[in-house]
This record gives sequence, C-alpha cells and structure tokens, in this order.
Amino acid sequence: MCLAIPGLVEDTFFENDMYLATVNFSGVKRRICLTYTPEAKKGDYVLVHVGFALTVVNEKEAEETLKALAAMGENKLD
Amino acid sequence: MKHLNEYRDAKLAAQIIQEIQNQTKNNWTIMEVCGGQTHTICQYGIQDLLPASINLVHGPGCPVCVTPLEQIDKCIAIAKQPDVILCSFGDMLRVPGSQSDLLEARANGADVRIVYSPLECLKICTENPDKNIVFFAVGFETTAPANAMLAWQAAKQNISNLFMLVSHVTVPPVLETVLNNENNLVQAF
Repeated sequence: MCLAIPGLVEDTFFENDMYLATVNFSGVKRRICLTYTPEAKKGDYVLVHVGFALTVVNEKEAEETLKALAAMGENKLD
Repeated sequence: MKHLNEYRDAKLAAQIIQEIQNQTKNNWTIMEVCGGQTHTICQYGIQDLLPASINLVHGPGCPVCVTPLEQIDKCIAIAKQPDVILCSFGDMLRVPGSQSDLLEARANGADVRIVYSPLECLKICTENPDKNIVFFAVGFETTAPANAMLAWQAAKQNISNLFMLVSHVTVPPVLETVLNNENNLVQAF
C-alpha cells in the first residue's frame, strides 16, 4: 500500500463535490480521485496512491532529472 | 515518456553506481524509512552495488508493518461479528495478530473485503444497508487524506452504516526519536 504509481489522466468529471478521473495505468483503467490535485487535467500523468492522485508528474522536471542522471554517468567517462 | 522504462536503464544505472563509487570518500550510515524501499534494496541487491563505506540501515517500515498487534486483533474480532463487512487494503490481510490474521478470519467465514481505494467502501455501504461496514484505516501521512475523504463523503451522503478502525501513524516523530538517541549512527534518511 506504500506504492504510488504513475498513470495517464484520460478524462475528468465531478461527482459529490469530488474531482474524479479515469486514469490509465499501462492499459488498466481506474476511477481515481483528483480532489487533492485540482491542477491535474486530461493528458497529465499523475502519481496515484490508494485511488488518490498525490501529485501531477511534471514531465519537464522528470526529463531534467533523467538528463541530470545521464550527465552524472557521463562525467565518469571523461 | 512513460515514467517507467526511463528509470530502468541498466547502462545508466551502472554508470551512476560507478560515479557513487568514485565520489564516496567517507563512511555513511543512511536509513531508509519505508518497507517498500527496503524491499527494493533487497530485491535488486542495491546494498551490494554500493561502496562498502555506505551502510544502509533498514528503518521503521510501512504502516502495514508497524500497525500494533492489538489493532490487528481488534480488527479480526470486529471482522468476526456476523453483522459486519470488514474492508481493508489488501496487504493488511496477511499481517499476523496474536492468534491469526484477517485472511484466516475470511477463510472461516468472516466477510472481509479488499478495497483498493477507501472510497470503494461507500458503494459497499449503500449496497448493504443492513450491515455495518468497518474500514480498517491504516496509513502514513500520504494515506490519511484518502481515508479522511471517505469519512467526509460518508457524512455528506448521509451514510450511517460506515465505521472506521483508525490506526494512523506519522513519520517525523519516529525520525526525531532515532536522531535524538545518544547511540544514533544514522546520518541521513
């Protein structure tokens, strides 16, 4: 239950004052609550834990992290 | 980007490990807090890949591991009541109490249901108006808001047959206790 996994927001809707979404996890679609990440929108990746989005995955930030990791590896080759 | 394959690049991992080897000059004792991290460290042999001067200490673990025995026993006793449907996250079912676990209670006829999200309890409540639905609400800071949303929604939707057995824990006091111990060797988390 500690795990949070990333999924793609496919569509969003409101129900009982909750901001909800259908989120696609590599082909498995689930109904996820986005109330705690109101900035999340269709097309975003969200990190989901027990049916709730914890955060919107910032694609740019993720790419920068990966770049930094790659650069760290390259240093060794210099 | 799928945020999965990008983080599973063996060549990149090997380079980073080499870089850690190159840069580590002193002894380090680092504690990982979460049981999921401990599992990953053990499963992929990360400790063996790191320099010998980096010592990983396995920390307090996840809410599943640290739920007090009495709470598990209480939960099993509640689950055995005939008018109860006990809802729980799946990984709590195998956690042993003093005598048995929830899985055994279910095998013996208790109505124990696994929910992925706490909100699934709402549907179970409305579909079973003659039963008391008890949700075993465990979790760290990350899970508490999800469990709170269940309570808020139940009140909002006038659901009167939902009960919660709450066993939440917070992480910072544990880290503080570790750091304040006079024999503490942990330098980072």
